[in-house]
Amino acid sequence: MIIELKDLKKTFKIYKKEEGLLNSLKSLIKRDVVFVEAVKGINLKIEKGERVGFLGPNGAGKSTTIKMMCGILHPTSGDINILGFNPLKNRKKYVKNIGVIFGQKSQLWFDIPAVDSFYLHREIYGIEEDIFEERLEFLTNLLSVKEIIKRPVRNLSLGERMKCEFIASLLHNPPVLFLDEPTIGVDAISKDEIRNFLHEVNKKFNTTFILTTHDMDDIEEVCNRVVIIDKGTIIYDGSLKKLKSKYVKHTNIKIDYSKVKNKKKFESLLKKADIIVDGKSYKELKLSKDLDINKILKDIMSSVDVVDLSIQEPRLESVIKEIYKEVK
Amino acid sequence: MKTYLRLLSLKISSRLSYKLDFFTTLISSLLWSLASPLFIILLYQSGASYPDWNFNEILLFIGIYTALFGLGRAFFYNFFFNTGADVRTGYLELTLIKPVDELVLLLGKSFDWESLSEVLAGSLIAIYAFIQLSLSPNIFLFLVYIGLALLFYFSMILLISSLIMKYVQVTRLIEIVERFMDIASHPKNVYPRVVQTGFSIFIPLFIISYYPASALIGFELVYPFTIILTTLIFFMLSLYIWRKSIKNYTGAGG
Repeated sequence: MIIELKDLKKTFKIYKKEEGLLNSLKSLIKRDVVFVEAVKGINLKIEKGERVGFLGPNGAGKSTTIKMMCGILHPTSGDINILGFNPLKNRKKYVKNIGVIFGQKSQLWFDIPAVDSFYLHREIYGIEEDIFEERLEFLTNLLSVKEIIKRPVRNLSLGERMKCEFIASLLHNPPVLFLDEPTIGVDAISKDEIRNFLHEVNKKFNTTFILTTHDMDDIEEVCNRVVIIDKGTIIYDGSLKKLKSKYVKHTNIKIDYSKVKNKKKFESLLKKADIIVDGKSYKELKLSKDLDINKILKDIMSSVDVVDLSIQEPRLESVIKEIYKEVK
Repeated sequence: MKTYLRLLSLKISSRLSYKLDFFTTLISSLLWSLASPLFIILLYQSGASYPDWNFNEILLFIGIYTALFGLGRAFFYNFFFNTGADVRTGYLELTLIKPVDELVLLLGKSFDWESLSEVLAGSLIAIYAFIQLSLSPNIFLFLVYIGLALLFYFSMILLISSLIMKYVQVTRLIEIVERFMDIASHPKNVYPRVVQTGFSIFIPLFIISYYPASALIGFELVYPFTIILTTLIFFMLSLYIWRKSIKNYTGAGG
């Protein structure tokens, strides 16, 4: 185990002000203080090489947890042990072993080529020259940005810039990488390249990823474990597969057919389902997860001449929506 | 130190990517700084003077003051604004995740190359006056005072930057500090004795100009070693407050 959080809590002191000029003037003399419990006692263990997706609605406490794990924020109480370090007691030594990417904050210098920022990172992390060159070569090849890194960052597209951010965060080969919405605003092709890149890095170096995102495709394609946080507490922690089996309550089946062979059988089958689309030779059915899908499929094949048939599980996005609704 | 130097070179490279702006700022700043002794020249031509200071001595004083403030502006001034911006936008997080002292990174990013023109102008004025005066100065003490003057300047910046962690927006504080430090733009002996003592042994403000200039000219100094100690204590106190306040950083949402 390389990450362990024990009863981690964070309370923020917020100054509250009602709207309007009068209240603004009042707040100059006396401000109302509100204590907001952003994280309310999180316990978590993560093994080396795991790819963990942190999910939760806005304000759930994901970023606060990640920032405490990075050593940026001091917890109100609780323990953090990552790679044998307490991030707060030996911050400088600890952060040498992690990489962090904030999708909305760039660590590259805007007016100069990204490669210059990489050399600064070499200095900051004390990477030996030959190792640095080797890693830079590996990472730039993997992301196909060999020429791009020589252009001023201000001239790069968001996708190209994000690829450079990944390189900057991985040059020192950290065993743990924190990713805070790394694909926000990035186009579909670049997203795919980034996800493939993460798989390659995880495979080659067994890097542990902690990923927060609102993009469920990121989670489905990168993570093998999901932690859902809401109102500062963990409401789900487990594999993606288990999450789906726990929360997916139905399966969608689309049938395109040319002829009904057994009308009675077909009608009895339709009665078991919610009909979403009811065409003359096309049906889209929503079936309860409790039904035996194999039997249903057999009944379909024997009651109509099938032209095309597809089975769809709900997307992770709708599963997560259901969970958020449930906890609200 | 290597990281700091790398940051300085990046800062210059970054600035040089806008060549015209770089050179116009540099030249205008140089001309403006060279005009700084104009007031003194007019003052002495009218027959007025600072008590106990002849024209070349006061010129040396002005030169040292200008050069030291130029150094302060070049290396420390922007630290306040950059820290403020980083705290407001949450960019400070990128500094805190690096395995280097945050002061090194923030200082490196804050380097203001153009202010070196003030250093150049101040040095030219001081060298001119120094040659005119034919002095045999205590160079060692002069250099110690210069180092301490910069340390004091940085301490002041550090102190007000610490408040950013709690209050986030305190932009005008730098103006108050600047006006306060303007006190040091005149020789110490023009002020009442209580001010002279207060700003020598409690808040070492006169380390900025009076002490290095006097060491060069050879004036007899009051509290020559107390001010060294006070400046060091002042710096340590500022550093302690900064370290405490950075722990209170609360981020900028997410």
